Amino acid sequence: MTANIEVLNAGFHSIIQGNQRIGFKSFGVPESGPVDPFTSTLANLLLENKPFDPLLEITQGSLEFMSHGDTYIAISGADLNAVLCRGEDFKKISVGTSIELRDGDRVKFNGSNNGFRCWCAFSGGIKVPSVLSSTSTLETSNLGGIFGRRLLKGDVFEIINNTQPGNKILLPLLNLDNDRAVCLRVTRGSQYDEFSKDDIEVFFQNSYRVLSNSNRIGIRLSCSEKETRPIKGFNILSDPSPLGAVQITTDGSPIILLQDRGTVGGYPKIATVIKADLIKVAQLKPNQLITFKLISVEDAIKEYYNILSLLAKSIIEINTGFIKDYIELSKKYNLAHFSLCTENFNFLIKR
Amino acid sequence: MGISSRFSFVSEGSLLIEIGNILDYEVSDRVQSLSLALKKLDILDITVSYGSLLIDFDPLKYNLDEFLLDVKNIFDVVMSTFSKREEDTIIRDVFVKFGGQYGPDLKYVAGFHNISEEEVIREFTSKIYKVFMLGFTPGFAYMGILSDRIATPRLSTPRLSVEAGSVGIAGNQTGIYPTRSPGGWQIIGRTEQAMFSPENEDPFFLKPSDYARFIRVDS
Repeated sequence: MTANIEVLNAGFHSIIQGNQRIGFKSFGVPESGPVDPFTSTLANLLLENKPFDPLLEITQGSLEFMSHGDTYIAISGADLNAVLCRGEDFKKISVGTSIELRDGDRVKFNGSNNGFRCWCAFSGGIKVPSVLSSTSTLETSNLGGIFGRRLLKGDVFEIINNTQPGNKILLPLLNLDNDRAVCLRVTRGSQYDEFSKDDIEVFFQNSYRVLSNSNRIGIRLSCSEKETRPIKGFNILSDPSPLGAVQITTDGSPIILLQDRGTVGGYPKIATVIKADLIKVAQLKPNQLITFKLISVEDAIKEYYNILSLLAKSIIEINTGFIKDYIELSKKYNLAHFSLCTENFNFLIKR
Repeated sequence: MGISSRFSFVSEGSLLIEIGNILDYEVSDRVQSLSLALKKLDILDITVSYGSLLIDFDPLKYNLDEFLLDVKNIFDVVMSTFSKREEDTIIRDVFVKFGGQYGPDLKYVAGFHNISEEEVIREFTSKIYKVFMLGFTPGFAYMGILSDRIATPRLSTPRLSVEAGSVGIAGNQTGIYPTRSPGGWQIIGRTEQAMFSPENEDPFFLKPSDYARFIRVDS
């Protein structure tokens, strides 16, 4: 049975992302894909989809869509206060469960102060062709997704609609809560050694503020206090820009380069944000404060392992052993979101 | 010339190899030969630039020390057997309309060097240019090396929008904008040749280590 999704309001920024576009960096093509490549997969896994099936990356909220036909959706990431509207009825949609949508149902993401991005997966994934072996949208080159751009009001996309999700639930083992000041862990960047000792010290002492012109190309930062001295970048012969690189422009503003960045660039890169902390990066809101902390490449790999192992334990099946598993894992990881999960649990029991 | 080299892990999944910090034919040839040879490793991607290349790999598949050793072995073989590869050079013709609405900065470039627009065009089309790298945006080829007689600094303020196919100059580099985008290069002409056609089996008109020959057509 087919299902189509009609966009009633595209919101701040909603875009189709799927697998990373790997193998074309020497032709100038960045990897794209979800800003948080870990949490995003959970929405797909809740629906028995493949981890990188095309889904919606929703930033800030205000997205509203209508289902034409019956299907299932699941949300992972920040709780952007999604609501299911069926006729006159309204029901909150919890993060981390699968929800059935019936023909004519509307889903609205109201937004929240607690997070910035979430991912909404659909049964079987969104049906979009693969371009350069990826379904992900790259807006700067009009590639992938639908029409190579973010969603706009009136867009309609098709759902593959071939999965029947079981009773799966998401444990919030990956912490998405960004504190008032977020500490991003970094390894040494490509031009770390070309900065003076003094500049490096200042870079790690300063705290920065996220600017509102940040996007999937990069998170733009400024010094959080006027009296702090920004460190100045310089021009270099253009060289490769790794994912998460922190480049310092000549006017002294750092930019964390993300999935849609230029593959090469002419500003020095002082540091690289570790993969595990892309989870925090994806939730950075304008005006949020951040600091950087240097760790070793070996420790960065440990953190990466750690995230993958948490990811593997994040989804549990609700069966006879469920309560036991649930309580054990909750204790072990001292889950901060226990109430949220209880809500999910109650919801599933009622279903 | 002596070839220096530096290997550094710039993230948990990427290794940067720096061969030379200079815009130079031989350094670039070495980088490009190395990039081809490294493809036999089980890696995710390679980004090539003028004097360095970045290998993306899966940190779950390799131990860092072993990976570095594998890469260094390939590096040593490539550098010791390196010879300029000229026999298999591919030269692509790019037909360009110069000046006027197609090249709004041709006048500035001519004025900057105190020569006529005609001389800029003649100088520009008298050489073939090596594709040093593709980057910044998909299919954007960085080419050179331009003669000092026409090399011109970037615009002081980038344009918000440069038409697709625009041929630009920045210092002694030249490049073609594959899609309409913001840009700070001095635009001297425009080609109708598509640089990037994602729907094609062979999406990129110019590839690293190709050469381009610019041919003037009447505007």
